[in-house]
Amino acid sequence: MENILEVKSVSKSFSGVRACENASLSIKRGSVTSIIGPNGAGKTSLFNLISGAISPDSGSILFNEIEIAKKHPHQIALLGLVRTFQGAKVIRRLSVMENILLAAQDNPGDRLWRVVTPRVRKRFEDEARERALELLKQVGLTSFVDSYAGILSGGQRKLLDLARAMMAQPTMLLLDEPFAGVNPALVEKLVEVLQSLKAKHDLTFLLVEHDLETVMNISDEVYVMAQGTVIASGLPNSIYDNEVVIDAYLGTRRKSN
Amino acid sequence: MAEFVQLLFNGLVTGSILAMAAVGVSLVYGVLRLVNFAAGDFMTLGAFIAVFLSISKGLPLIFSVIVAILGICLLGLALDWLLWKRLRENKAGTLALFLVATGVALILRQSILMIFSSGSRKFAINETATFGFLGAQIATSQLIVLLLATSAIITLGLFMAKSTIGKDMRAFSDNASLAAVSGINVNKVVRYVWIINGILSALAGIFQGMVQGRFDSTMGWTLLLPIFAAVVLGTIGDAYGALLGGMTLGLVMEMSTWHIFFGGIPSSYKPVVAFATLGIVLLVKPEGLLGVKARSI
Amino acid sequence: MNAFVQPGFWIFVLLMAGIYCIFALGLQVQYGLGGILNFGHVAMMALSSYTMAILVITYNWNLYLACFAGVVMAGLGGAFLGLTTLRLRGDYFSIVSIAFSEIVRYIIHNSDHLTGGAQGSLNIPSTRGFASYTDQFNKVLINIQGKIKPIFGSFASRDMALLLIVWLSAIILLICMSFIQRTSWARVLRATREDDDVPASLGKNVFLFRLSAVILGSVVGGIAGIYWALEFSILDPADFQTIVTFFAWMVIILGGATRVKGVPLGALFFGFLYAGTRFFQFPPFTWFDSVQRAYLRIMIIGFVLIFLMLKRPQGIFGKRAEMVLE
Repeated sequence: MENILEVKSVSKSFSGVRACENASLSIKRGSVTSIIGPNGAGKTSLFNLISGAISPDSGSILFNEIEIAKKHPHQIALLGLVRTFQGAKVIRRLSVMENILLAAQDNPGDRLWRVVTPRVRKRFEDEARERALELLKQVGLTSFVDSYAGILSGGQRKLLDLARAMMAQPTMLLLDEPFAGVNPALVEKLVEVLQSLKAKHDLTFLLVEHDLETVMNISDEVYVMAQGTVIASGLPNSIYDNEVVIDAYLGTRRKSN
Repeated sequence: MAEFVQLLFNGLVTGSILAMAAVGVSLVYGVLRLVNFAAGDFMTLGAFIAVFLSISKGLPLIFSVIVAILGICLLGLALDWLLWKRLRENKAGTLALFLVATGVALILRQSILMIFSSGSRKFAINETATFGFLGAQIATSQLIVLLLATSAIITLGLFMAKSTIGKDMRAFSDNASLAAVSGINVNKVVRYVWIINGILSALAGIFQGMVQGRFDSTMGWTLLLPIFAAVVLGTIGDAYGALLGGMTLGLVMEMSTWHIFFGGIPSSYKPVVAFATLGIVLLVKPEGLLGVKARSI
Repeated sequence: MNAFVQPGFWIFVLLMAGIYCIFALGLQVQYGLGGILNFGHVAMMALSSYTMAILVITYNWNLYLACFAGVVMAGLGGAFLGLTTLRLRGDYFSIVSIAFSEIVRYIIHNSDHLTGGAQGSLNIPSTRGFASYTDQFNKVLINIQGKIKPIFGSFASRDMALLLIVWLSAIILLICMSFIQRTSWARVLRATREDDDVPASLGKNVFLFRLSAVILGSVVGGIAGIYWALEFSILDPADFQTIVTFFAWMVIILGGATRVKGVPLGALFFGFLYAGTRFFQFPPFTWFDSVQRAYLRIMIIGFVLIFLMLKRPQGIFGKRAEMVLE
């Protein structure tokens, strides 16, 4: 299947307010797609609908041809669709290593009865640890491996968030404003990491983002949302010339260009 | 028919007493985020003070009731100054508040036992006087309590809706930090919460004592579970919800003893009925009857 | 002062401490790992002890099988509680958990034909005419008593024999809990204490993890209930009031809520505070008559609880920096 993710006319209302109205997306396998739009456009709601945090009132969402619209977040993650969080949520009281180990899939130690089979658990943990150290190296957080995640700076938390998501061996990553509040040097670093991850692991990325410049630079395709629906989509350059989009969103940007 | 009218009336009386107590608990939670486990004991103490003054000291009933109300208001304010204020400043979490509230409830109950000893008490009202209504014999005392409770609730409702402090309380209950920065006098709101809670708890306790006939120091604790059920049913923190929850559960509890329900559920199981009702509602609406889903962290 | 030199006094205090240690351990699993505020824990004691008693007295079961069944019943109780209430928001869960334990106690109190009702287990219908479940066990205790006599001499009583059994179990359970703390199961639970969304986004079914913590804790609580039953030989619904759960909370807070190793220390402190004060025959206790002294003892518990939460929430043995009370 060429399209790893198909969002078909999903709608969602909260107490009478239409957050999403017949929004549709098609994400090609192996691509980097971004969703942009003004605040209140429904991007976050759409994101939450895809990741399973909320379920749509109507429409369907297909991931690898499996209907995920009514599934719980953990079920969707198990299918290979993993998300990061705005502001990079880390578990502050666990160490960086423990945060990443959380993401290890099919961990026998997750089952309580396995307390009686320490060797099986240890074998898995040791393997997982090695993979985790690899990922930490890729994002540059090796020196923090045993520190409490709570001491990390905002930018470092984003890297941890990313490494943790990668540890879950996803086929597709949903990135929630990965560049928000991040200084330019770190943006560069993040882009580098994303691109090397993509090359190494054959991933598909879907981002929600406000940082237009970076979005235009890295995306294969861009969707623009406003007032709950998709008002335009296509190659990054085509968005700049799109009248509808300019009206809704890019007006000032266009003028400054 | 007569049984139905009787039980309906009982339900209204129980419901209004529960509602009064539940509003107190809900208000305290709404504004202070405190689950007041001592609520039952506030009621018991109010009843005991009133009955002590009116029976043992021979003072007029109205006077005793007023003193009891004042006493419970002062108790609430004192506890706030001693404990809750400190915990608020330390930004204490749910567990700390829970356990301190339990400690307070324990101390209060033991104090009541120590001061008043464990015997049962009775107000000097004639609870055997009845009047006929649609075939049922309704106790006059029940009717009086119902009228008084309803008046209290209506007065409170008007106060909360119309007065400035009432609006401030509701704002605080919705969003405490926002209310605080928008100039609402936090200390004033807190004081009013304990005063209103004091009035409602004391009256609820006194009314329950009157309706029950004989009561002892466990009176409040026995009612605590149905009170909390009412609070949760109406969505915790919502005073109007507590009202609705209290009346609903009061009616359900009393009507459950009607013989057409499999010969009538034994009256000792009324608290269980209250919680079963709550359980069923929560299955369908986990936030309570009036609630909005709580935001996740 | 005479009380202190009586070995019976110390043995009783240590025995209560042991039972509460196990009971609190069941609670600690739920709170220390999962941040679950379960205030209905005493229900598990009630379920296990009464199930065992009824099976032995009314249905003539073998005592040991009945004990096992009792513990299983406690686990089932925990499963029921968890399945029905863990999806509720935090404070609702806490309130409803209290209701659960009160309803269990209520039903025990009002089911005379099954549980003996308010008169306690002596009233349980028995085929042999006398409602006791400890006959088989007493033989074991006397057996052990005989074995420890050479070591402890005249101190070797029936209570001491039970004391050894209880503390041996407690130590075994403590070791088990320590092992459990080091699994990834525990790691996921610790993560859920802070945030539900992160573990879910990584494929963890947070509800199931919490449920398993509640069931595990309930099973351990059930074990404590069995020992309670064996120590006191009779059961009374009044023994299983909500205040008992709060005693367990006090124990785990005294020891530093997230530390398994703190539980026995907290239990010893609590055991002395509660059981010990019963035997105090000196002023200021002698100012009150015995009825009032009972009230005073509970008031002291109330004060200690308040003091703990206000001044030293990390407990006697916890470190402020590690504190996770939220």
